Amino acid sequence: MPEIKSKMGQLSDIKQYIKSNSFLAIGGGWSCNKPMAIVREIIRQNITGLKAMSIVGGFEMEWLLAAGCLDHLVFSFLSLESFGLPPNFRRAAEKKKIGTFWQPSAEAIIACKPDLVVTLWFEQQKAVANSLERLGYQILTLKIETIGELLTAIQEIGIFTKCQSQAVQLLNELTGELNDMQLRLGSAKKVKVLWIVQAEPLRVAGRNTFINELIELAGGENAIGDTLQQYPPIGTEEILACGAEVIIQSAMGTGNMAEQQKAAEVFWSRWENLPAVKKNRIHVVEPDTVTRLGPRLYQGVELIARCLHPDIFEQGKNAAQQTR
Amino acid sequence: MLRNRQDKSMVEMLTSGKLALRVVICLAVLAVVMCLCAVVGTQDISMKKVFAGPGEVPGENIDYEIFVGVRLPRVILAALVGAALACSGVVLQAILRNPLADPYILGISSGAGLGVITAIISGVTWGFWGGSPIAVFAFVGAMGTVWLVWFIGHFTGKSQVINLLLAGVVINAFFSAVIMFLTSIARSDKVHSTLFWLMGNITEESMSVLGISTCCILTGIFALFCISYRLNVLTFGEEEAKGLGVDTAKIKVAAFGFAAFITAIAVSLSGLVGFVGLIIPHGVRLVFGPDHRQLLPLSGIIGAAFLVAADTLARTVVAPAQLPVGVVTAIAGGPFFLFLLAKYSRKVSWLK
Repeated sequence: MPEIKSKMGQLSDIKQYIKSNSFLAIGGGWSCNKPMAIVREIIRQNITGLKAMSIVGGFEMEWLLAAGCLDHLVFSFLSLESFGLPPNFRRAAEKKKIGTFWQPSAEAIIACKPDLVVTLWFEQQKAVANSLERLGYQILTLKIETIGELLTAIQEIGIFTKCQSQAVQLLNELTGELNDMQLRLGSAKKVKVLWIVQAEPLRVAGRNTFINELIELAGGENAIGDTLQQYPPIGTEEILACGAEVIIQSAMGTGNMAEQQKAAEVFWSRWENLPAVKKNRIHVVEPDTVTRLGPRLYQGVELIARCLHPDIFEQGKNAAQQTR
Repeated sequence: MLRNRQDKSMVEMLTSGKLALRVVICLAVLAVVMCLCAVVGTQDISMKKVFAGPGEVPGENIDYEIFVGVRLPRVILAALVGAALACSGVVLQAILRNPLADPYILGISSGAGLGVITAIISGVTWGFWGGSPIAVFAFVGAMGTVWLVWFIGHFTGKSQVINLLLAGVVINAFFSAVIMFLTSIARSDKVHSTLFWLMGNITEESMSVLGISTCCILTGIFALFCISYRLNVLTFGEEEAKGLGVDTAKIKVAAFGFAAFITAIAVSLSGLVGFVGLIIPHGVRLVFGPDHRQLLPLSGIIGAAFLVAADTLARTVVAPAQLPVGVVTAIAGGPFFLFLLAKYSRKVSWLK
């Protein structure tokens, strides 16, 4: 008879099950049968960036929204019953948009009465920052194109928001996790990776990108040599010559991941002599964690490391099981 | 019919009183358009709060900050750019005697574009009088290209108009290829910045930049107005103009130089805003006649009003996001121009 594994766990270990960016589905009725102990623990442990789905939502969603844990909510109905519309849900729904990433609106930003405006180092955002600075607003312009710049940016944001201790804590966590990953990977052989940013026309990540840093931290090396462009378009000759052992493709849009994986495998099957295709090591990965330089950097590194060195992570899992 | 109408309006004497009246009416229209557009935006503001003056700390009186710090500079900038491009279009159509001539025909667009992408890729951070490095590079690129086109056109032979046009086309094509090459090797954020600039993008500028630009553009337009009656003679043809005692070479150099100067300033402030320099002169010519003494100031004023309205649409139609103003001028300007053409050429019965 197969051994039945217990699925019970301690609330304090909740971070093992629910990570930042996890998608939660919470059941129950309006105000009954809700897993409120878990909701309180999520808030206590400050697990943020969550996505959630609720058919009949109530206090649990209101609490998660109030604590700033939810980034995205899919729902059909939300209410506090006799207490009316959940105020934090309403606030989140009415939160103003301030334009787009490429075209922020100075008017909309002023209307939000910000204490601090954080912009990135490119023309459209710089132009808006300049006009707000002329009006006396406090501006912090950041350049985040490498992992080093990300760490500096976290420090700067900590200084400007007077949250230096939290910034230092986040930095220590990040660098600690990255160091642990290096120890775990040890002297594992570097795996040649071809990172696809666009399938048609074929465009890959070059060496002068943060994706290249990500690949190296995950125990790989970019199969593409030095190029003039950051994300060079490549032809069949380069594909065959690069000898990629693993192909990683960040998923496009919100389409079904399984379908995208299947499409990628069909697309790459025409280069059957490529080691990655021969060994069927083609991975379509969630773009959120691997294409954005942010505090979730480690999750991206771990995701890639699992694609490059599945044996190491499998061993780790087995060892953990044996210890248990 | 169009020709008869134009001939009639040429014959019709343009008195200074009539010109002054028309200019004043158009200025009043411009003032109304600017006022209306300044109160329209993504946020509702109260004029009472605007007149209450600035708060002591940022965010205390946001209505004042939005009106004075964001909308007013933008409306003024749009008016300046519209006036410069329309006046430049009038002059270039006259000296090149080509109805398809627009301010960018002699390579200004590609020269300025090359300057801009050079500034963006090199990441330079310095500028003059509070202007961004992009504006400085665009201005230098535009003026440098105009000089190159003029030099090639002048160097290659006597038939200067055709040579100028050919030199403009060749330089445009060459610089466009260089821009495409640089775009293909640039980082994605820099490519985006360049694309927005190429589509025409009006943003809020500092008062110092606006002040200097206003002085330069108004001086250029005034200088062009001073030679506008000679442009009338030039439209008869070079030989006829010479026969009537006009020094065509001097007039062409002066007109070309001033038109290029105000276009380069406009381009450095707002990127490549298309259509204004082409359709406004034609539209004004169709309605008021081809006399350059009238065509130049009226085109300037109506061009200003048109771009102010187009920019207001650009910043409100998909608010709080914004459209590049060049998209709006092309979408709104094209059909409007066709309407004018059909109405005044009396080819469409229901428009008669």
